[in-house]
Amino acid sequence: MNKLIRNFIVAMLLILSYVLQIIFLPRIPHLLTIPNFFLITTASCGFLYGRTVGLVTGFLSGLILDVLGGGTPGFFILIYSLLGFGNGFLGEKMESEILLMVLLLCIVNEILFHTYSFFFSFIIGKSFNLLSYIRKVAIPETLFTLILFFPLYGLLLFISRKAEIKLTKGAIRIV
Amino acid sequence: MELVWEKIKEFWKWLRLHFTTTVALILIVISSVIMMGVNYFMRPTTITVSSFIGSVMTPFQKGFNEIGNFFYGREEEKKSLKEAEEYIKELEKERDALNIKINDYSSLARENKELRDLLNAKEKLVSYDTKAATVIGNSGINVFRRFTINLGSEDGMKVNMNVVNRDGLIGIITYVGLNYSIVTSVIEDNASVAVMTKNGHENCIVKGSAELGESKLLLENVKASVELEEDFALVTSNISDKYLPGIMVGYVDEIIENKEGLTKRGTVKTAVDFTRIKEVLVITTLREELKETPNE
Repeated sequence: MNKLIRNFIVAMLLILSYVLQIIFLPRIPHLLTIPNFFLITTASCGFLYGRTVGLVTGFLSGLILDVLGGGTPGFFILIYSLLGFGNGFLGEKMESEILLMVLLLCIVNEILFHTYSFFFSFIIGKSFNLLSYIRKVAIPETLFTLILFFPLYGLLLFISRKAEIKLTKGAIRIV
Repeated sequence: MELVWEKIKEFWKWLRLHFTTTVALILIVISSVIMMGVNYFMRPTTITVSSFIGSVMTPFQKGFNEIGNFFYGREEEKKSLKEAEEYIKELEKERDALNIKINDYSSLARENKELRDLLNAKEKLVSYDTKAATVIGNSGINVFRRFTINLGSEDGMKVNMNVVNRDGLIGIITYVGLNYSIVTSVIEDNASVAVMTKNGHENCIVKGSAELGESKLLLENVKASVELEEDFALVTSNISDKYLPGIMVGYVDEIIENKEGLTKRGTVKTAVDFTRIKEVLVITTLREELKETPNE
């Protein structure tokens, strides 16, 4: 029952991320960048639910992005799987409720993601200038994602507690 | 041999028990690196995983794209395009209206100038009564040899009234209707005007000639003793019986002595531009009326 609810929640999050990131937000005319919902999902689920769930979430996110967003297959699968797994690994070691932890989580994930994006961008055929990439792509997206990370992570935490889903580590452990 | 196989199976079981996730991660990493490498190095030959995935997922992609458009996309673009087209139509209407105004204003300006010039001309001929008329019809296409003006017998027009403009003599009224009159220009074939030099001494006759064009008059059978040189101004003569004296006719263009030496001939350039006549002055005093009181 527990696992079913958890899986269901993760699936819902993935679908929501897909709808927002690929269908809705790119078409709003005056938005500078869009926040990375897949990253939020992967990081939160990995951190809260463990390595396996994180890996699967990352893998599915990468799969959706690679297949439906165009581009080289494997590009996003690799990074999101690694991030999901890494977040799960971290989740077992750290407290999941401290605000600073949440902040660090988002920032570290974003840094890794953008580093990977930049250095492996030549694989999908684009080339960027490092400084302009940081200024124009990395920083706005990080800020956007950061702003949305807190409420979404908090929501996930709240729902998990309410639905009595087992978390990797937390102040209150409901087994 | 089977022992080795057993050991491998045990190792695999132990691995799966403890390190499932890690194993899965390693597998995923390896496969994605392989996919990316294949895509990078073998881009021309796209018989790769990407194309397979692409061919399977493209219908889904199209479907999702449609959903996206349904929610947001094309409508926005269509709306702004429509707005732009409507705006363009409005601007075109405004522009057309303004063009009509411009035409009106420029024709008003031209009329203004012509009337002013006519007024100046009128002041010169202040001794004669004049009436302003407008050309309403023309027998020729470009040149005004016989044309119609908008004044007729009900306005007091009579045959043989002189028609002039600010530049000089145009012609004479040859037919009068109720509300229109026909004017024959001096350049009309065989129309002749008795002219004199400005000082009044030399007299000769100029004729209109079709072959000379619309700006020249024929000067023929001038007695050799008559002093005429180029650029001499010629005005209507005192001895003319149809034209009032002193009206500017033109300037001597060239003068050639005839073979026998007894006569001269030449051409006269008209003072009036016979390709552009719109507003004219009709002198309502007839020459025969003037004969009673001779002019100086």
